[in-house]
Amino acid sequence: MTEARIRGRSEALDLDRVLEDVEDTRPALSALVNNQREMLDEWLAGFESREQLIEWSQDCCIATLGELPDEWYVEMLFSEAILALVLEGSAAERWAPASAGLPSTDVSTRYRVEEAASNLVPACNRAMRTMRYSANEYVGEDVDARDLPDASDQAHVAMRPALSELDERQEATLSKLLEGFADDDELLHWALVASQSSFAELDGQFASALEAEQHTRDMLVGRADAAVSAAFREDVAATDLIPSFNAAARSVVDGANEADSTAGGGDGGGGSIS
Amino acid sequence: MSTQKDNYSLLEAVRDPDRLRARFEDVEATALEKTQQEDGDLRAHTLGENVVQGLGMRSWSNVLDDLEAMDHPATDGEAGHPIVVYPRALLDNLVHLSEIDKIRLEEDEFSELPKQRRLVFEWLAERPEIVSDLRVGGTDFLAHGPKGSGKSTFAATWVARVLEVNNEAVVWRGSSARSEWLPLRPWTTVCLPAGIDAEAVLDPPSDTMDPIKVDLEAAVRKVVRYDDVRDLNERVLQKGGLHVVYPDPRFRGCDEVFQEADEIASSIEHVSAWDAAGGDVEAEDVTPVEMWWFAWAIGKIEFGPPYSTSWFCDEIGNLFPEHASNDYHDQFARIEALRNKYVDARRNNFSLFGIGHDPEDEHSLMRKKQRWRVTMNGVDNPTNESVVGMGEAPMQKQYTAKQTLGEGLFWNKQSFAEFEWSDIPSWLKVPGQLQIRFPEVEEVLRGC
Repeated sequence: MTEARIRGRSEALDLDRVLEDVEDTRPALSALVNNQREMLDEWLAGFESREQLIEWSQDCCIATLGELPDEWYVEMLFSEAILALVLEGSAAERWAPASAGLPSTDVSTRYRVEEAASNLVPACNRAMRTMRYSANEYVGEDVDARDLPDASDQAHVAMRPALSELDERQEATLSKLLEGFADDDELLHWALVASQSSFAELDGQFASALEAEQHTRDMLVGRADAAVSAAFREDVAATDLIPSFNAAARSVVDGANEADSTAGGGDGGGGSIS
Repeated sequence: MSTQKDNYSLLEAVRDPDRLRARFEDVEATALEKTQQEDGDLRAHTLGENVVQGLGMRSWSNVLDDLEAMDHPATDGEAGHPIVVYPRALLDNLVHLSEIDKIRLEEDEFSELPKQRRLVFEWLAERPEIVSDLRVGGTDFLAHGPKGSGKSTFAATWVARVLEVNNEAVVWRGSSARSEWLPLRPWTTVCLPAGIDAEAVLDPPSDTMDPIKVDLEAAVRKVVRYDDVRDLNERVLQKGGLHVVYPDPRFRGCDEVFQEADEIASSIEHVSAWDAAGGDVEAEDVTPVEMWWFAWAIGKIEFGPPYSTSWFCDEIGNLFPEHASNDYHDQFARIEALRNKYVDARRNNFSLFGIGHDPEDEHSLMRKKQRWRVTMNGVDNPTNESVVGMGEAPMQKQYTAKQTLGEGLFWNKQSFAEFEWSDIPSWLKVPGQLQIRFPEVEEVLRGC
């Protein structure tokens, strides 16, 4: 992938060609390809708010199977310069650094395309390669599994938690946080569920920290100024949730991780009833 | 989404009795107290939905969406997974419908249903061609596979799905030999006969560790006592509840079931250890306690209550052995009586899910009545051949022999569908078997 090949939004279709070599006959693999395309399209189109960008980040963790570095997300979500480039309209204006001003549409578009070419697409490709050789659960019933290297040596191939399951749980956890909490009980219950059951990658101290910090709790349950607390919730999502989501997506394909068995079962490919 | 206080690894647990006990007892399901089965509020989520969450499974409505979305050219141009393309293979088995449910589907009126059942109904309402393949009443299967094919995990998964989709009563046959229901213990109501002291011991898998006494009440959702068969069915069993029932060695209410039920031999009797102690009969004439199940099942089918109930019967070949004879406590006559009553099972919303090693271990009288088979990975599915009770198997080729752990094939006379299930989260697993003993029975027998 060279920069020259993708120059603007209108040429985003070139991504099809890029992804062609990873497209596979296996239906669930192509589901991942579709996921990735959607994620890339959204990236190129830009976002209406930082909140929307955070939600996209979660999708991106899943679509890339955690192949992007955790810091990539954190840096983007906290950098005024980058936010001004990937957000649209008034949201971009809000974040644009006073020293530089609002970037032009051309500059924004070029930045997004370059970022897609140099980071996102390679991460997608790595994810496809990982998936192709490790996940028997993504093999449709009509494909000859014997062609996969060592598939038969993996005792628990059909018992790996699915991306769709993980995706669903992450989405629910994230949207609850962004939406805010009615009271302390609801918040602590959420934190407990998020850290203990769903995402072992999330720092186990997360819930106890919330319990100890009155200020944090006030912000999260909306006892502070609405705009301030909304921004605070976004910050928590960006620093705590997204990196743990990214790690969780990685562990789905790494396997052999205790987190997997607590993160849930099922798969989207082979007719799983779990 | 649930918690365990001391999360020792399985390996640590099998080496240390205290840790094993802790692993067994200190486990609880998150927000179980908020379910409608606990709380009584019909708007609350159901125990079945809670089990599904606790096992880390997706909700069934999401599974349906995923199965349907699998319409890639690689699936030979067919829209969706065989589970949704051939609804009679698996969906018809899982989704239990009453006459009223059929009307609900025709009229698009689902407001009284719990959330998951409502979502499944909404999905079905948009697909009348699938609804026309779903029949009213109870279902069944005979699932079989070799040791290590994931039978117990499949059974637990199916329990969760049946509870989630149907919000019906599940009864698991408790026995001293096996306790494959243990991963579901935080949601389980253990039903024990009233007036008889019971003790629970966990028999560890290691030879070097003695069986350890455990606190059953701490480990399970609750322990309840039933007076007799009728009391169990009418008062104790709960719609949407998961019950592990241990049979009554006093056989209270069993003779009455056989006398009062229509169209079965009324002369079948039950002899308890106490009868033998009274001197009327010999100790060897004491009826084996598992014979209680015939009276229970016949009573449930005949006298209800008629809400949907699913009976999970692990090691089904032990209860209905192929070589049953009347010389052994009228076993053949009991099987025949249940077979005769079983014709009413479907209509009375009674489902029988049997699990075993080999279908031929189960008496052919019962096998002929069961309409579904589940063949697990590691054994051959029949191809184009005649199978007892099933006519000619619909499969043209071999599927299950090359499947791996956690995969199987659901089939009946007309259609089949491959499917998969996932492992149980490790925090729920307990090494070893739970035994529930009634010391009094042993004592009475010794006195005979």
